[in-house]
Amino acid sequence: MIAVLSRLQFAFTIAFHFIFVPLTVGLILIILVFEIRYYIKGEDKFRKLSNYFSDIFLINYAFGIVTGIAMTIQFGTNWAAYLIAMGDVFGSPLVLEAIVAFFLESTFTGIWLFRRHTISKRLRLIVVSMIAIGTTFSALWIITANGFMQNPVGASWDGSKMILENFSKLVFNPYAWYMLVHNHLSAIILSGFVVLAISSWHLLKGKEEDKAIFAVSAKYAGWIILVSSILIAISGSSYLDFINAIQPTKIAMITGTQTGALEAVVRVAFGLMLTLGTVFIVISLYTIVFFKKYLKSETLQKIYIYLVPLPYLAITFGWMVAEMGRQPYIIYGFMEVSEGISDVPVSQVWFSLISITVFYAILFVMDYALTISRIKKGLVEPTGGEDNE
Amino acid sequence: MSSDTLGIILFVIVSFSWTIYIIQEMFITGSSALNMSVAKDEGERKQIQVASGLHFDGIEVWVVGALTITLGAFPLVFATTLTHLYIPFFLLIYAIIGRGVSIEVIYKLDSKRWIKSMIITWTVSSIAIMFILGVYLTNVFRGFPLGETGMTEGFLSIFNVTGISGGLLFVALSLVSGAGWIHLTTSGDLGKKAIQFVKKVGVIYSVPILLLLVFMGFNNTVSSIFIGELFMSSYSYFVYPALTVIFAILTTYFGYKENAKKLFTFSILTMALFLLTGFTGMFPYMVPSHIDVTYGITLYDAMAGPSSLKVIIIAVSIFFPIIIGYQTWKYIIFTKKVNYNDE
Repeated sequence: MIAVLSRLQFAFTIAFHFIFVPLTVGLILIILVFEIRYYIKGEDKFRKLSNYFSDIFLINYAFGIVTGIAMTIQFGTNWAAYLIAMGDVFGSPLVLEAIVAFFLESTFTGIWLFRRHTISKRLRLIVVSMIAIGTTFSALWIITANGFMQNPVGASWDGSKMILENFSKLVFNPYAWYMLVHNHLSAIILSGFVVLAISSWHLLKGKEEDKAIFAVSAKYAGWIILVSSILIAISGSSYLDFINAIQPTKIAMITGTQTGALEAVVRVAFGLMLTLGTVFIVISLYTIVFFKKYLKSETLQKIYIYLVPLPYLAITFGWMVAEMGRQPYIIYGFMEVSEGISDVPVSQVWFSLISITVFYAILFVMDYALTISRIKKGLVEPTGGEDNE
Repeated sequence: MSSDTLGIILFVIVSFSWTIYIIQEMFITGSSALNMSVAKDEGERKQIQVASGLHFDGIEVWVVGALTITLGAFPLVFATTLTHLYIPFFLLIYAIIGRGVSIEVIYKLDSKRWIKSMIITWTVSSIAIMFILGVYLTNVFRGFPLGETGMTEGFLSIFNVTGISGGLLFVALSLVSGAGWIHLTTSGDLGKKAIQFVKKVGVIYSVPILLLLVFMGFNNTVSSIFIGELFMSSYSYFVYPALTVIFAILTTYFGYKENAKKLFTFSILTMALFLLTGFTGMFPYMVPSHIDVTYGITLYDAMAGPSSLKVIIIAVSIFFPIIIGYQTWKYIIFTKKVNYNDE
């Protein structure tokens, strides 16, 4: 029971955390594109777009950071046995994530939040680049930790726990690097859809004077989705062979040679992920080719506003394949999930599971209300203050 | 370098991170908690929000650092403590999330109900953070009901007299330093009101009393920090608890005199020396047992393998100086007082 509840709680909290993470990881890269354009060409519309989408970024970044701390805590509260077995390997990537990536992000996000209207073009570009590097590093270290669970390299099992032997092997785990590319592309696609939806809303209902600028961001979003969707398809298929070698049971689940309830879920999730990936290519290609039609068609704009859940679904399916496909292992081939839990009264796990669900529901409503109200305000010029409005 | 040396270095790093975190968090949460008592309108409240909101994100890096370094370097400590304190840690997380979100978004929606509920969240979560941290760290120094095969009591045992006194001590010090911080970083008569408030309601007088209660509580168990390895090795270590008491009394004195700068300084010093006393006393234990000293978990029992420790030490020695440099710079840059109606 504890194992079931702990898994449910981890899945729920990480899924919630992951509402914000891909959006911020991808959005900051799109903001970086706008900043580069602004830096090179000095066109003011790119500065405006960057400022506008930065506000959306900053709201979601705040929620992403705080819900991330809840993940770390759970390794101690719910997965104590796992942590004791894995701490040696798991610890260093998490420490690096905290003090290298988190440091970079929070330092430069602070400057971006409070000072972006007063700094030079050049410094703006540097600050945004640093945040982008920070978020990428953050993803790298977390995926390094996850990569070990999927493909344990660089450490040896002494019968009761993993001992780190070679840190560079741990970091250069090919599984992790494949996943980093795949994950980042999915985050960019998701953010592309968010930018497309927001731009569509403005074309449909926004202020007249903003429309020309949001037509530009819609076009950028279309291109970004198209390029990333094609790249993600290539990256995904290129490493199926690699997975086949290290996680044969996962491939067996996907191809259907191994059957059962779990296997069926993995197979269906894989199929849906692929379908959605194809749909993304079609949608973005259509948008770019018939861009003039899109600018005039209220129906298309309306539809695009409601497309945002699709990339979220695609990410969730991909995730189910990756994490359910490694079941029943928590460290592939060495330790099963049920062996990783804490020795804690089941009532306490019920307490945390229920309370965190309620708490996160409130947070979600808050984030939603804030993001939507900010989106609707449209382009706002700073009034000389240091707030992000 | 031997593994033991690496372990000791990381013990120092973990203690250092906790200390740096707490002595900053105390005045941020303290000034936040005072907002409902001293701000007469939204303009004044905004002054407090900006004065504390500017720094809280950078400060949070330290608690994340302290926790993850414990996780990475001493997995057994992290696992044992957090499993035992399952519920308190979830409550702490809720408080940290509540504070982090509310402090940023109070004025983001033009709705009276929104602002009101965010202010309450901000205030309550700030007090809760300090109280839970106080109870937690006091119990870390006092020891846990750790038997031969694990904890012999539930998490409620941390709410003993010493633990609760420790929680209240943290809250009191935080309010006092917060009042000093408001005085130092805002213009107008807001700061004066804050100092007078902590004096009027008696918070300044409670500091030395609570501190003595906690110290006596420490001395009441078999694992008393005052008979720990270092305190027994040299009596000169007793300078730390002695200074803690002296600084606590000075905090009361300068609170009474309404001297904001010295009140702020000595409240911070009281906390820093209190933590130094605790970490010095518990060495080399990281999860001490008050049932039998030998049941406690030492840093040597808990530490990760040498290659893992080395990676963490290298990362820390590169990045801690950068973080400290940046944050000092940030404090200097923002020394300008926050005015009424300042954005």
